[in-house]
Amino acid sequence: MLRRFLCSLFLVFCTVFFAGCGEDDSKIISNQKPATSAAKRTVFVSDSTIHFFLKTFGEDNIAIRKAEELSNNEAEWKPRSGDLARLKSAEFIFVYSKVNAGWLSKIDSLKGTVVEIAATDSEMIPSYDGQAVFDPEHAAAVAKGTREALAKYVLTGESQRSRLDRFVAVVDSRFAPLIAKSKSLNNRFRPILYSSSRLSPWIGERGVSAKKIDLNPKFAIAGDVVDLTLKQNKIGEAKWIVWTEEPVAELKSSLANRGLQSVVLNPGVDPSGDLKLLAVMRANLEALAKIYDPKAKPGQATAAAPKKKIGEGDFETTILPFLDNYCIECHDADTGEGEVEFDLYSKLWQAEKVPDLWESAVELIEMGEMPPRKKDQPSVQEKEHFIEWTEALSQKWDSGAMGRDPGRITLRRLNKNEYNYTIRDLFGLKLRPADNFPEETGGEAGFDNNADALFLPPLLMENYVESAGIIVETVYRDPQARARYLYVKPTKAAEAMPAARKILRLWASRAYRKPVRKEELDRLLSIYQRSMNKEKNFSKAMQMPLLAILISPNFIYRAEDFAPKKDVFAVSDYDLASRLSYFLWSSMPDGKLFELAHNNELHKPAVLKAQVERMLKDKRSRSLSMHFGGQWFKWEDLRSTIDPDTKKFPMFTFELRVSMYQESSAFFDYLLQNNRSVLELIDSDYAFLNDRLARLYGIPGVTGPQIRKVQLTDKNRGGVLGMGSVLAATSLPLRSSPAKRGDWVLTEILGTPPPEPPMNVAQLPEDDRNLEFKTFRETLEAHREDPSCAGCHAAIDPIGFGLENFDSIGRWRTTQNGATINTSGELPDGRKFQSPAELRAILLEEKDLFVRNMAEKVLAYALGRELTPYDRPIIAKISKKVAEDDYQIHRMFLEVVQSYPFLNRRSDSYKPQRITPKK
Amino acid sequence: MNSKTFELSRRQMLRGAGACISLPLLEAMIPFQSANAAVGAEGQPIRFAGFFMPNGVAHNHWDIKGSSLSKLSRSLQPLAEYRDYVTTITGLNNPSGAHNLGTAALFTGQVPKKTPNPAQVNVGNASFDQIVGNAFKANTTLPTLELGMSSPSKGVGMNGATNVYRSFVSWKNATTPVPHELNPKRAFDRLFKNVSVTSNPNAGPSSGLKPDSSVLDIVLEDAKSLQKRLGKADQQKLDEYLTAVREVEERLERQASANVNLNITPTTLKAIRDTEKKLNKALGSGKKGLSAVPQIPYQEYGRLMMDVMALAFWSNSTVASTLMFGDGLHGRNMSFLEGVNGNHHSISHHGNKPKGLSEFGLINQFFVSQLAYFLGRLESMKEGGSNVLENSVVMLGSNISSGQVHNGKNIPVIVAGHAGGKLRGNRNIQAGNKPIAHLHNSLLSKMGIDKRIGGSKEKLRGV
Repeated sequence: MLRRFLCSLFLVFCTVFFAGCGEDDSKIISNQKPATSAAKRTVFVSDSTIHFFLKTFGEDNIAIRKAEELSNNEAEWKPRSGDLARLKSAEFIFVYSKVNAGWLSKIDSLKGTVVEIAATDSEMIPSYDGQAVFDPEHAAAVAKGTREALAKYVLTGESQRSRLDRFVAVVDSRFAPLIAKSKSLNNRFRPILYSSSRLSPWIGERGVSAKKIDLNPKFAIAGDVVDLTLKQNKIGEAKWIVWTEEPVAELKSSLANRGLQSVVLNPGVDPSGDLKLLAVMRANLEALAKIYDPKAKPGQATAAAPKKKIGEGDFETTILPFLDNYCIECHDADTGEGEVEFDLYSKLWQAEKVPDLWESAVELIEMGEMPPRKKDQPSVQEKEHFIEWTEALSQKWDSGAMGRDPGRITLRRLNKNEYNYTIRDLFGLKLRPADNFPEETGGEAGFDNNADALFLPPLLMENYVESAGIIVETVYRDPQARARYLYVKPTKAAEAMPAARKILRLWASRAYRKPVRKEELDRLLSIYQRSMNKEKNFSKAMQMPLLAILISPNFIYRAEDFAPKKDVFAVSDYDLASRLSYFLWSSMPDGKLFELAHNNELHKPAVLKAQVERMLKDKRSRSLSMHFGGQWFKWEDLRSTIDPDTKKFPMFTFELRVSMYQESSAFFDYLLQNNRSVLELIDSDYAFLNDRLARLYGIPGVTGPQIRKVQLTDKNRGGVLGMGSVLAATSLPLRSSPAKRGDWVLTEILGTPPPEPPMNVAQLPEDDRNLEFKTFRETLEAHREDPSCAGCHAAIDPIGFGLENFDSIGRWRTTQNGATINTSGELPDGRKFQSPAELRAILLEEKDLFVRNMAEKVLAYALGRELTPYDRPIIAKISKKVAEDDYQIHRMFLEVVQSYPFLNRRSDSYKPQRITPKK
Repeated sequence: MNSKTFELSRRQMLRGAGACISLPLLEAMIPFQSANAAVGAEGQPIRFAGFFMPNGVAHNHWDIKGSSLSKLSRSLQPLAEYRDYVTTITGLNNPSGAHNLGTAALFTGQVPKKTPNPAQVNVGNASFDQIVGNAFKANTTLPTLELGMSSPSKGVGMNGATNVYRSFVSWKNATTPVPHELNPKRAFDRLFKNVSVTSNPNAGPSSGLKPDSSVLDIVLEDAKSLQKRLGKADQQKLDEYLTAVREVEERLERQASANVNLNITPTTLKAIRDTEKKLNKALGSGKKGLSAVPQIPYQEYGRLMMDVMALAFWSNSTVASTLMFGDGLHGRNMSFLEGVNGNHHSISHHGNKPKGLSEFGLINQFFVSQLAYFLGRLESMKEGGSNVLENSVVMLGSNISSGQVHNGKNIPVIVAGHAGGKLRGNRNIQAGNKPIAHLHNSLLSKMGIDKRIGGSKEKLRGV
């Protein structure tokens, strides 16, 4: 316990230094500076030396007290007089524990803001017995204070920029994701992650680039020298090797012969338990000082190279070396960790094609997840350059300067739903033949209309053939349908062929959704003729051609007209009609659309707009609610993977499952029918319920099984986050999952998915009965010690905590195992909430992110392909227009329809041309 | 009890619609033969059943020592009764060993191309079952039967590999996954529609109008003329259509050409009808419309699937079949098992804690008991002087070795059946760090199929 206090205090002062004297770090290592700022030196350090850089860093500037001097009684703690002056002059005072915050608060005339920050990582706090000192619960609790202070600091304006950088530099890795995700902080600050493996950036700031290799000083000399030889490429031009233990003399001299000098630092792990910290640090400082050229003049390092803004063109000079040094070892073609192969990008023209790759790299670097903690770390400046370069590239894409490309849409097969609805609308029959077809897969965006994922295996062909046969028989059995099909009746033999031609021209054109070609019609007629010769019966003879129509690729696929000589061309009006109808209805165009296409009017902006509005209000747009909404928000999972334990939740019956599906799709439908704001998806004061759902949710006064709109008085319910479907989709069979829900909100609402978890994650309790702690939240927080999880989960879990009032099937609860559920938490940028209602209100403030995310989803669904960087300016424009139009949902769909990729098509070989901005 | 194998033309089968097939009709008896196919002791075909058990195993409850199965591990206990039919193999590697890629790799034997884009999927070669089905297709109603118990997943999984990989174990060729049937009743109908109608003339929907060859010819012409108007990539996409139509055509021709050696005897016919009743009872109730996966208890669901598989084999309707107990990231609630509380995937991340391992071991044991059920079904199905299990190769494997450590080293593998006398049972083979493809190649060879997969010609010693 005592050691723990000591550690806290040590860091308190250490960080005070940062805050108070941060703008001048030239004093840090006495006056030692590198000879010239350009000539970097490479230092090798082994893992355990890292603490000592930290310690040494502070030695000259802070007072350190020995543990013995502290009382065991926390109330008696107080700073020494020398420290007091420093504390009083500090603008911000970072403390690592409540205890310290407590006594600091008693000091009068403290100018600075006291901020508690959490220590995340054992390496941040030197420990003297090898045990990590870490308090995860406390860490989570103090995170918000830090961010508040950050936010305040931000408000002080750009002039503080240099200090802010410093400020953020002391933020530990726990906050990095939060800052990275924060709208107000992001782009303005570079969180410099500060933990053991972050040694090298620290050194980097001093103009020295550090690399780490592991050598054992006591190991067989020959072996290590061989080892060293193997690592020669890492050594490069190094002059120094930093040891944590005196290497054996032979090794030392062998290295000296190679021009490598050894510096030995005291590891500080004092087996006797006698903590002679000060002495240790002095010794280390002296040792470190050797690394620097004593002749160098003070101040040279800080006056180093004026900052040059890295632009997009600096790839080969700046980014490529970064990749080579820090990334390529794992991310090359051979190893290809995480499906990332940086060796594919050795030239700018290759690298600039994949802005998303660099953006996700930046995200991981900023979060401190990459390079991995145990690997060499880039310097602060190197990181900044990487980030600046990426930002320049992103900016270029977003502005549209990279050129226009409507993208390539693969030949699209009708999926199950589209097939069902097309048959319904083609014949006016209540048939769902595709229900028996195999389930579809889907593309990256998660929609089952992605053309690339729509395979046609023989089994499915068999289904198409069989279903066509059943459809023809059904049409023939239904007097109305049959009359509609055979709408011309020949009265004598000579009329038969013209009648057949007329009928087949109409029906093939309708089924193919564009005028049938002459040769296609001729083929159908040849079938008719053969059949007629055999059957001698007109009606019967017309069966086979209809069957052929329904098996034809022209029906099963949506083949769009091609303009072979053109790079980019507007889709024909007939193809546009199909694009529209399959987008908004998952079905074929109706008579009105065909008419407009026939008259070549559909593409006219005013006509198009009127049609979109008409179509959205048509009940066929329910397909959007069910399939677009359902696949986006995952309520379609009610059909498959949502699997609450029936013993624990006996009320989760099939009927309830169906009700939840209806609730969700009715809600989306209501938005479409009434052109409501898309923001109501996040928050609404109504829901669509029946008696079953109302009972489940504890809402009185709803009787009968029909789903209807119900006004909500409870602000905690409402929007998609209050739906049983979504709440169940983000739960495990036996409990709710704050992590799944947090991930869901970040991914599906805000469009900012957290990085993937590592593969070998530990198991958490599957059931919320018999937990270590009474609530699952407490249990989860206790499990978050692992630093490889803590970083991301600090951004994910709190959101889920805010929804813990909903159990895994969507019921409201305030206690878990008898203990009160704590639903307070906060979003990445520090805004906090106490309840689902408050969480929702905060999400509503993130409407820009939400709308952008929705625009991406709608566009991907509309096009049936994955989005590419060329779609980025399109998304930006759609989002802007929707915001300008009070977030009306029709505007969203209209903008997508009027977008460049929706209206155009391109050749396979088309290469977009860059657009030079007009000056 | 000897049953007979009859050749029955499709027309005769169809003629049977509405009237019971009476015995005197079934007189033609030609032993099953195929140009390159191995046959069992009395001319029976050798069948292949591939089972996919997701998420790996708890090795401390699975692995066994020694070269025989005299001491079965906890998870393998359910095999006790079928010991003499069973060979377990340790030290075989799934070339990928990840949730997504490992699933697609199990029966193909190669590392699939890692891509988020479904258009770019590539598993190297067709899967084992498809190769078997293709070799024997001339004599079957359906060359292969693919069954699954999880809906295909959309999107992209860990490591940037499309979820198409985790959704399918059967691959028509390197780039075309074969979708599976989720509903045992529909699988049954595909196989026995014509047979089952005889038991209840009013049951079942109309089988619809069948296209004659001219219809298929003209749609192929449509496709070819369409292809000319398409860009290159779309031309390739349309190739799928051409292949699929040709295959359907082939199948229709085969069924009409009186070469199908269906084994329809009073005994098998009774089994078919009993199964139909069982399926109707389990699935017939009105809960339709929403669920892609039938809402019936998981154990019963699996057993119905295996009933259909076994019948498909016995009746000679199919020679190769796969069943996915779940997709490659199977998260079904397994709490119905005594001593298990939680979902399959979460429990597979047992953290090497005894409780987690024990629960995971019980889940593995459940899958083995399902497999044992299937072995029991096959053993009970007599043909010639032996039974269907004698004349089968059954394989169970996984995408990863252990749920906790995602790699493919030493995946659980069970082989059962005697392959018409070419496989012995009661053995535990130490493969010693060999790719699974070596086992596939050994088994292909035992089945008389002159094909090798997994990018290797090598076979596994000692099989």
